[in-house]
Amino acid sequence: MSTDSKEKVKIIIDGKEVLAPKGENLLKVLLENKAAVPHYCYHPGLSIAGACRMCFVEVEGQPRPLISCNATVSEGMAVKTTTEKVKEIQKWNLAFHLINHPLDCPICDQAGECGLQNYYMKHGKYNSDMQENKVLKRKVISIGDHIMLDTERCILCSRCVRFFDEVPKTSEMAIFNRGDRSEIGTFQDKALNNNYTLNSVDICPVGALTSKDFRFKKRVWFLKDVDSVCPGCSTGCNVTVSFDPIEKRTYRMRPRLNEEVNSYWMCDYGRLRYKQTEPENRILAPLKKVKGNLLPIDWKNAHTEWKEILKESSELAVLVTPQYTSEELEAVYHFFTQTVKTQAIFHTIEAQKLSDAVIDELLLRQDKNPNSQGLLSIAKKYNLENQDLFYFEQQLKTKSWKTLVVFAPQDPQSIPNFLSWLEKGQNISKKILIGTHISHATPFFDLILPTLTFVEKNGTFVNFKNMEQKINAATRSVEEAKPIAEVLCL
Amino acid sequence: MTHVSMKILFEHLEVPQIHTLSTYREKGGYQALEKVLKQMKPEEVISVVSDSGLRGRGGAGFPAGKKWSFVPKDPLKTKYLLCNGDESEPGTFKDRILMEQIPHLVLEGILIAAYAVDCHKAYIYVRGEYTESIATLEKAIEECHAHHLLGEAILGTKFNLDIYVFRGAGAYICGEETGLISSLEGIKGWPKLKPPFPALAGFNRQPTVVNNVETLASVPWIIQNGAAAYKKNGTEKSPGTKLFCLSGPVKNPGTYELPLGFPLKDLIYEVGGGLINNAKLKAVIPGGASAHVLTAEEALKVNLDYESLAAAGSMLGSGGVMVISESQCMVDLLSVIAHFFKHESCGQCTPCREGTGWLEKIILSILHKRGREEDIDLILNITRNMQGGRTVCALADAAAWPVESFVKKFRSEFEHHIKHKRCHLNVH
Repeated sequence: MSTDSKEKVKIIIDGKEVLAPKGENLLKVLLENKAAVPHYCYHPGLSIAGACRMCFVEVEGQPRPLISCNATVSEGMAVKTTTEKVKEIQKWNLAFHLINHPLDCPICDQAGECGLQNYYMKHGKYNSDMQENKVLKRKVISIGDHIMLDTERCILCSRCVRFFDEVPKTSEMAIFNRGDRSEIGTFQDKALNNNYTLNSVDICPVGALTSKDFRFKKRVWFLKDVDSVCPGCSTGCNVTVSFDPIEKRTYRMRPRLNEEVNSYWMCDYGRLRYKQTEPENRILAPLKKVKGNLLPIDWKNAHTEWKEILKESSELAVLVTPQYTSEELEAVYHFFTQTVKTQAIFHTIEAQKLSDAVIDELLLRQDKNPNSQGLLSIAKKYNLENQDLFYFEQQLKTKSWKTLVVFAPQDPQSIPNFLSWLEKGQNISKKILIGTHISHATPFFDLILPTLTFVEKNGTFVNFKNMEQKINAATRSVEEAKPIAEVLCL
Repeated sequence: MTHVSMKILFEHLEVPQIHTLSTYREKGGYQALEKVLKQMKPEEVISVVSDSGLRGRGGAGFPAGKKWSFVPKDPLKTKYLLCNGDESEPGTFKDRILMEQIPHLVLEGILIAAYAVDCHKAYIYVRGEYTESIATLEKAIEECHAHHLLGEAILGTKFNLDIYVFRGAGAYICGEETGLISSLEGIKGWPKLKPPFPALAGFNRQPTVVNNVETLASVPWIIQNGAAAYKKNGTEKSPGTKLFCLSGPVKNPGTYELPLGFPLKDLIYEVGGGLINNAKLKAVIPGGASAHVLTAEEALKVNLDYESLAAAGSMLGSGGVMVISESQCMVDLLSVIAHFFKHESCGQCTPCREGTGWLEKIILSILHKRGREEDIDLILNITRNMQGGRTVCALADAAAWPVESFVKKFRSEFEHHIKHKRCHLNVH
């Protein structure tokens, strides 16, 4: 529900008067107003659990402190978040969280972004009174393709349980047993079986749920974040791309809040798309076919080749995929229609996939391209929007193109049969591929020019709802890959 | 026995076959129900019960009439009445007597309460171990259905009610009213966050009243005899009678119905016949394991009513009076209580989940010769930070109170264990 429609009332937070929507969750309002109220179990995208007991505040007129996550805003309420009483409660509740925690930060992937570590610095008791043996629980349990569980690190905030109950509605996780023997888990350790499992790692405030993809790869303090958009499908989930600026490598992608698009979540399929940007999966240099083999050449030679091809070729066709930014696509359409003067620009958009349908009833769409709407609107500008693959196939039978320039998908999984489909154009004598993915570097092509993936460039993707969303460059993982403008020698 | 008091709940306890409908009716059973259904409006029932001053007998002592009055009057809403028969407070064994021996008294109470709050579906949540209670209740319900006392058009009126018996699985936490509701809903018996309170959104998110067995069983008598007659028993603020479960090394342990305000000393020495072998009294836990322990001196002065026990720093609780003699080690005893609460903490919220386990470990350390001097203050610090609204429900408070009071009032025994690595009684 949008909070804008709610009546705003005055409340006082630590002596400062602010306006807040009447009836809104008090903790949410406190956090929005920069009151650093500690919390573990509260998550704005999930129901209220009231389990961690960290978010106590004092409200004037109330006989004793109350948890702000289960309180609502009312007119004139005066909230105090840093009284001695509140601090004492936070200190002890944090101590309760820690007494049975294994404190294995040196080998824990959450270190650096851990709720326990962070609050400990601010609210910790420092000298632990705990001299007894800790409760031992099960560790290193695989609960799905992407998730590892350590029940000893778990603070039982129940965020993951509520997530699977409320978002994918698969209810696979639960808390078993009672008291200090309580353990998070799946029934009989069955694998999580949905496309949203990695969100549980994001929302886990500690290192209990870790991503198999990310664990032991990188300490988080080496990573920088940029805001971007997932290229996995036409939903266009807002994401944060985390990369190591020194190593120039992307390490993970996590959802970023956008109520209009993806809320707090994204799917596992989309989240792992960043792997296609890793150098192991990339075309690392321009390649030229010599005697049936692809050999790396430098860009100077590549450009000479490219210019030769453009000069020679009077009959040239272009095939574009909706995997490029609107800016790149505009450049492509402009260059080939105005400079090369060909109208034979075809696109791979399949109209029936543009329907609203999501495959898994949450976020992942049938159209696994990030910019179909962007491509269509640009093609329309050049009156070429009807030139799709079907049309291309028809034309192949009559036209005698000598050159085919292909802007390959950056993610082979978005159009899995792309290469086999291209076999239809094998009679065209010169075939040039502009792309990023190693699986597309086959001797079917005469010249291969590497370009940038979504983590390496700025630009715009237009999602299925026609929302223009910006992607931002994180790092250049492949030195030799060039922006489209440079590839085309604009 | 010097104190001869009126029997309200146990009036017909000794009558043979009182568990059957026919005998119960011969003794005047279901007349209160008939009076209510045929002559009284629901508001009138609530007001008689309110006037009687009847307070919840499960432990918290909340006025029953007030609880009923919180239920919304909206006729379109489904309302539920849940009878709490999960009796699991250590030292308490009173509800089972009512359920096993006078089941119709409980059912009549439920029927009257259901009429008062416009409820047509009631559940009796019975502790899983109480198989006998479940069997007798089910038999009694069957009899009622056969005689138009349950089901549709009860006693020829427009009032309908079905009562179902639900067998719990023996978890202490399911005696907490919202834990009970969760369990009844088929989910893990975790207490719910309040607000919302059950009167507005309880079982299945509908208005719900949860009353203890003994509370409901008191209702028929109050209806039949009036609020004023009920108030003649007990004290001004704690009217009526209450069942007290006397246990420990006394000559006559058992469940006794006594007027509220009855001196604890007389319960132990007169009703209970004193301690076995005339042992010296050391302490008394007056209201179930979660109540603050009283020293012998405190115990001999206090009366058994809500206010007197609160003034003495403890509580009437469930009425489970546990007597402790001089020959018992308080550290040992506390370790048993601490183990119970650690075992029964549901684990939902942190201070209770971690605190109960931590307390047990420290107490066991002291008992097993590993205690440290600083442990005593640590125990008191932990208990202080578990209670006073720090948790979802009151189990953490219930776990903290005995520990806190044992350590504060019998500190020297704990210190002896720590210093000399053995018990002052030489029993360990």
